[in-house]
Order: sequence, then structure tokens, then C-alpha cells
Amino acid sequence: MMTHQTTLAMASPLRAVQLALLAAALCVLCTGCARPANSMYCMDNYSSTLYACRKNPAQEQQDKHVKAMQDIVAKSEQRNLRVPPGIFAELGYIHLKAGQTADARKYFEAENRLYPESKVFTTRLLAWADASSGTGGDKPAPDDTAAGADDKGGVITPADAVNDAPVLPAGEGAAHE
Amino acid sequence: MNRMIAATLLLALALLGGCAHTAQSTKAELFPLMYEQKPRSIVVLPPINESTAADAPTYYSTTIQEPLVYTGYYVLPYEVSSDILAHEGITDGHQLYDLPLNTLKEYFGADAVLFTRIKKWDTSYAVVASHLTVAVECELKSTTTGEKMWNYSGTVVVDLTNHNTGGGLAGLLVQVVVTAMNTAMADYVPYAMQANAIALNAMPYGPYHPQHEKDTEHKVFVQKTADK
Repeated sequence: MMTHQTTLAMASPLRAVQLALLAAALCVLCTGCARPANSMYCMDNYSSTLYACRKNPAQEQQDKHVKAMQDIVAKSEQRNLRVPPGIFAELGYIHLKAGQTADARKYFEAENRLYPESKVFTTRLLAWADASSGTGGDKPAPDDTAAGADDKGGVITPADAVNDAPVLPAGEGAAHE
Repeated sequence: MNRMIAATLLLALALLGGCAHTAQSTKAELFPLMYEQKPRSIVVLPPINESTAADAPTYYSTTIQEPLVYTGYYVLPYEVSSDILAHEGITDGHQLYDLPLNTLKEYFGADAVLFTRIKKWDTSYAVVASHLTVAVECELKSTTTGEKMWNYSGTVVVDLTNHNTGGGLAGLLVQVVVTAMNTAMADYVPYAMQANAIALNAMPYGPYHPQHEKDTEHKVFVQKTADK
């Protein structure tokens, strides 16, 4: 078939060819779907603004990523789509780190309502939000079994991940580690 | 532009029958545990880097959330879960690979853990030709039983050579320079996304996908498990 003609086709960069093949590839990816898979959600610029944050971890990039996620929420609502998993929680976490606990709570609650699967996770995040708004500089510690890690001479196990005092969102995180 | 076309072609070929000699099987036959255990939520661990590029995990990890969400599972936001894990000293999925995973269920409420392994993230050089390769392997383990429920890999190879040959020695020199420049500017992320798309295409759909539990007869290529 066309296996060895690859380079030939590449030499003539026809946009039409590219598009046709891309379309074909996409069709194969969604075999059997009555509608294209990407009509499930709107993820918009999520991946590209996140990538930009990694390339250049400046506040400006972070702000763009937050904006992209807020746009996802707005566009999803406009198009009557479910807001994708994790968007509300990530927005909440960024607000929590910035000390905006009231906003953080709202986002965590939205994730919790939208996705029952997130219950354990969002309940934990909400507890942190409460702890950091209620007790000021105190370390939010929903789990009170923080001794685990030291006992084992610094060897980290998943049990430690669970038992160790939960992470402090940065901004208040100077005391942590 | 050329790279985009090359990658698209390779992707299309891989999907459209470049693997005609490879055996196919149904998702239900290959990944029965997915249909038995019916995981609903996934936490993604930091990538395991087996490539030679130290910064591959940093960039690769920006490419997995979006396509995984589209498979229909509840995916914990990687930016949050990885930050929490990093505070606990876990920055590489390898640290948890051989350990019981039930604590992740208790901590995050996730039914499954996605391990990603970056097998290749590199550019091979030759005088007038160079190739960029991104290869990833994804593996989903149950946080209840620790069993491997699903795994699949995706590989994208991109020809970075500029094929506008001018002819003669001058043409060759120009081509060498262009190849070197393309290589320097090579951006792996779009190809990592394609590699993810290939791998995740073989994953049974999750509860938020319209095809959830209707894809048992979907055919996927059987991959050799030996190429670890």
C-alpha cells in the first residue's frame, strides 16, 4: 500500500492531504461513536496553557491557565456540556494556594456536586480550605496521624502519603518541610 | 508543517492498516478486568522516565489529563494530585509501582491508578535525516486489588528532514543546516499527544462516555507485552 510513499507525500506539503488524513485518523479513533468524542466536553486551551506554565513558570502564564479554565467553565455552560472532570477542583486548588478560601470552597463544592466520584478527594480539599480559613497560619491537618514518616527513617510509602499530615497549599507552606 | 504532515501520516498509517499483519482482538477479551471491576475514577501518577531526556516527565505530564478525560472516566486533576504527592515525596510513579495501592483509594478515592512510562523521547541524528520518536506506555492498576487492568503503548516517529532538496552540494549543505535547525526546535509535546491518543484509543470507555460498556466488541491491535 502506501507504506513506503510516506516521504513522497511529505515532500509536497498539501494541506488538503494533511486534513484528509487527520480526518481519517480521527474517524478511526471514534469508530462506533454516534457523535465525535470531543463533543463530550470542552477542554479548549487547557493543555496548551498548562504546557506554557511548565515552559515558563511565571505568574502571567499561571493567570492564563486560570483564565483558560474559567473559559472552559463558561463555554461548557453555554453549550450545555458537563464541565470536564478536575477543572473545578484545579481552579479551587489554585485559589486555595492564593489564600482565597471562599472561592476555593465554591469550586471544590462544584466539583463535588458534579462528580460523585470526587467525594473523598473534594471532602479532603474542603477540609483544608476550612482549616486554612479558620485557623489562620495553622497547618490544616484533617488526619491527625502525622507521625508515620519519621518512624521509618525517611522511607516514603503510600501509607505515609496518607498518614502524613496533608499538604499545605503553598503560600502558607513555609512550615511544611 | 512538514513534521505535522509526517506525524499525521504515520498516525494514519498505524491506524489504517500499517499493522495489517498484527493480530486484533476485542477490548473485552484483552481487558476483561475493566469490565468486571468497572473503575469510575483514575488518579494519574507522575511519569516513569525511561527515556534519556531528563525534562521529558515535566512536559509529558501536561499531555495526559485532556485525552484521559475524554475516555469517560473521572480523572483527578493531575496538577492537584501530583502536587499533593510531591509534598509527600512522591515525584515518580516508579516509587509506588510495586507497592499496594489501596492507600491511594483511601486518600484520593480513586478506583484506578494510571502509570505512564516514557520509553522514548529523543531525536536520532544522521547526516541528512533525523527522526524524533516519542513512545509511551500506559498501565492502569486497580487500587482495590492491585491488579493490572489495562495497558497499551503508543509510538510516534516523525521525520524531521526538510525534503525541499535544492540539488547539488549546495542543496545538501542547506539540507543539513535545515535538519539541524528542525531538530533544535523540535517540540515533542504534539507528538506525545498523538502517542497518548494511540494508547488511550485501546482503553475501554468510562462511565461518562456514551459508549461506556458498549465497546466490548471494539477491536484493538494486540501488542507484544515483551517490549518492556
